[in-house]
Amino acid sequence: MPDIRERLNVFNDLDPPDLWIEAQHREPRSSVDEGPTTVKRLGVIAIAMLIAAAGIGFIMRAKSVAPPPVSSSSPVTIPPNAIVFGLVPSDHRNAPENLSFVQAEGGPVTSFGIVPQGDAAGEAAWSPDGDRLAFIMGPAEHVHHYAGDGDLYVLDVRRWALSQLTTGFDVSSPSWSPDGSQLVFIDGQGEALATMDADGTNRAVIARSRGYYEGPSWSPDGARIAFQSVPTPGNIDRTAIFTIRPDGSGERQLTDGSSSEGFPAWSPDGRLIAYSAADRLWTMASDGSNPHPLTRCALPCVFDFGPSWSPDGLHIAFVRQEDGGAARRLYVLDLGTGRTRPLTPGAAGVDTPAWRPATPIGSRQPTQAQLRRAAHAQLAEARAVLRHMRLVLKRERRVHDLAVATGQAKHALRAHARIAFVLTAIAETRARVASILTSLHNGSGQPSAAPGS
Amino acid sequence: MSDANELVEEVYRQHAAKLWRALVAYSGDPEVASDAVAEAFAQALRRGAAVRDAERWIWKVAFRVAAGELKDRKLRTTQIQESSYQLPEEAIAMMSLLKRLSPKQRAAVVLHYFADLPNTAIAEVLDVKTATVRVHLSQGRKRLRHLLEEDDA
Repeated sequence: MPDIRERLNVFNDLDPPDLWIEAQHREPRSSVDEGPTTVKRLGVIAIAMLIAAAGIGFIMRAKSVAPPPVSSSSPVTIPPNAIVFGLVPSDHRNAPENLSFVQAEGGPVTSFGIVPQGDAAGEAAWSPDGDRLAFIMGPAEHVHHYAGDGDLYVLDVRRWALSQLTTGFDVSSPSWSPDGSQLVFIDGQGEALATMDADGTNRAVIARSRGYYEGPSWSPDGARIAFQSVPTPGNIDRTAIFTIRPDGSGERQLTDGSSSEGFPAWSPDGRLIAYSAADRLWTMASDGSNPHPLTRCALPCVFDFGPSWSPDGLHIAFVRQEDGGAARRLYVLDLGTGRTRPLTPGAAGVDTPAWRPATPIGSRQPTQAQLRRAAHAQLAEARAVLRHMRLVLKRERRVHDLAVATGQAKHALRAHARIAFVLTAIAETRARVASILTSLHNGSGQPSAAPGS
Repeated sequence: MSDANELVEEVYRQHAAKLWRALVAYSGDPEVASDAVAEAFAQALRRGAAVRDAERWIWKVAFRVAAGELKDRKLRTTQIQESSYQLPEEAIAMMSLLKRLSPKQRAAVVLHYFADLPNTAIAEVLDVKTATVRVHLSQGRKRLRHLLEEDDA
């Protein structure tokens, strides 16, 4: 039976003209409208959005009655395992953005009420003991126009005491050292990677030569800091993930920059790095080997980013950009089942999440039973992937043979390339199945570490 | 440039190529496709922040402009137009088969199999119910498979 999808692929060979300049300068024809039903539908959507925005506004107002002096807001109890994030209550980018949290199981979104009117806060990061929350805050206008830059604050959630660590609105993306004594962050509006002590002293730039830095994440063993930067300084079209020692030495490039990799986040056991690339989330070993996709981003999803691991390493919270980029929504991915579920309403705009550590360091490892369950689930998933890939292989071989038989060299070549790709993927998945099986036999439930990590 | 226009530009960068190719498949005419893409983005830029979900909106307007153009030119059943744009032979062959589907069937097939849109999104672009999309799709698929088999034989 002819494969329609395959046949329609011929249109992918067409080279589209550049129409952007024409679109910017032409006078739109007034005769083209969207038709009455669409207008009506858009009206209904607008009303629904207003209601949704008003609802979230109500939640926020209920908690943030007395904004100005930041320390005077009443304490909010944040449960262990809660996920904290900055929140814009609609898709309007200049709306006030408050720090909020939601429980990992779902439920209402609660605002901290510490952000003054006109300011925005986000890019939160928990200290490893779960007692202090570092975040970025500044005038909303500035924070939104300068890629999240503001000042660095630390909120002690036990005493509900807020301290400001920097001034000048030029830092972003804090991450804690595993002993909680230091923070790494982005300095100079994206130009440098810097560290400072958690009390705001000893601020020091550790890397600046690449000219562009984002989203650092300190490894759980404290030895390295992962970050997003550019393989070629000056060319910000391609980003990749790097690691560096906290003293600024030993920089290593982990990914090749071919699919705009960014937002690295170390797993609690330090063996994996979750990150964002080609619109979705992935993990790789901490040495950059074994990239493995985690999410599937299909319309209305346009981009998954900002992963944050659960303390037990079995879930990942992340932001999914939906609706053509208009909505940013918080999701949780279950690494055992591969399922994702949303935690915030679609109309809201959330900032990168931070999952609160539930228990002190040292007792944070998952139980053997949890690991075994997760390994079994991963095994089932890998086997399903293998079955699917074998079918794909069979189909591609048929396409290849047919193309060869009918003398369509271009099609044959393309099918050949796809076959090679599928074969590599099958080999990788087989290796993964073997590694999971070995780990299950050893009783650890944890797949054996990738070579070199 | 406003935030809304930046968003439209982002949609252009990410989707214009796919949209244009889908419109060529649908209309059988690169000129119609180019006109529809330019018009949809021009309208999105003009409306700015009033457009929610710019990507979906642009797909819808572009397909509507192309459909209107086809109707005006009474192109729906005629041969592929002469064009300054050089098309590969396989694409022309595929277009002539697609032309033998009804416009809605053709749109549904192209949006589903080529643009990979979910049925709810196709319903929005074509301004019909999701159930109607399924009908167009199953009829279009059946007919196109038949035509392809005939063509292969």
